[in-house]
Amino acid sequence: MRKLVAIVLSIAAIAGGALLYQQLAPHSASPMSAAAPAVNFVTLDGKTLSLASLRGHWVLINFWASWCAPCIDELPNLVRAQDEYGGLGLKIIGPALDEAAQVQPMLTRFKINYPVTADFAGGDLAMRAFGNDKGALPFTVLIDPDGFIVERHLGGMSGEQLETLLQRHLGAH
Amino acid sequence: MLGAALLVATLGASARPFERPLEGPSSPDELLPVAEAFSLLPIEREGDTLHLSWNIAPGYYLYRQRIRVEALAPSPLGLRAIRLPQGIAHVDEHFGAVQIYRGLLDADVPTTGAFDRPLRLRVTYQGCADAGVCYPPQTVVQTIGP
Repeated sequence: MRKLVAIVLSIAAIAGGALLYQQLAPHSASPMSAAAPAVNFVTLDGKTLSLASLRGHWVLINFWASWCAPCIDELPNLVRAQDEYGGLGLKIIGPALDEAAQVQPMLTRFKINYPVTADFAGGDLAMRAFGNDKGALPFTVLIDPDGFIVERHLGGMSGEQLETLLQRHLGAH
Repeated sequence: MLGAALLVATLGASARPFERPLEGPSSPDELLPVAEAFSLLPIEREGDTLHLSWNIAPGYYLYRQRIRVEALAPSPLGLRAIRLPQGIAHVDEHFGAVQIYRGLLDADVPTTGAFDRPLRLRVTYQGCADAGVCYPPQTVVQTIGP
């Protein structure tokens, strides 16, 4: 009996270790979703926005920068998505790996309707916590209302790609 | 049986088997680390000129306008403006008329004054991949001996 208990505990330990590895390893190797890391963002207007406070919402985090042309291409699509899917519980956050002085004019130019941050080091750390080990932009993560990462996308998304992704998870708006 | 039940319970508690793999041509597995995409070789000195070279991997490019060289510490050696070759002209919807470099990039920085002690240089550059991603500005510090 003691031997059986030892075997069972060993299996549980191995399973737990494998699971932890899956959650911490680079995302491209992981076939499963993982709980989103606990990250906080300080928005341009100085407010702290914790990801945990958005539990119950679909959250789309789009890491971007003003020096990244594919990132700028996505901005109008993100603004439209926030308009169209906000009623279905979508909250978009735009952490910029950039300086506030560079980001601020973009808010006006693209009429950005979701919270944006400007923190190079903090954005880079958060992006890597979400599994982007290359550090390249743009990088987009979709988190479900229970706080699990359901999509990660490195590289620009067209308006159609974004629409397809949101429809797949949130349904038609 | 009990072991299997424990295993299922452990998996069910904190993971979901439906995350989609990364999509698109810009799969992270295909992207190079930034240091390999834009490899800055050791800076060389020939007389009064510092010589900088980058190996830019195929499918990647550097922006001409985002290359900077600065002396880190006060030095009797003065740096003149960097001499970059003509790049590939490109009109970007967001950045206007820009020039980019692909392949091997050589640049010179003429110096003035006495080169009698080590010089610390900070080199900054930024580029992107054709796959539709950009890398953050890179800053490399190199020390050149007299």
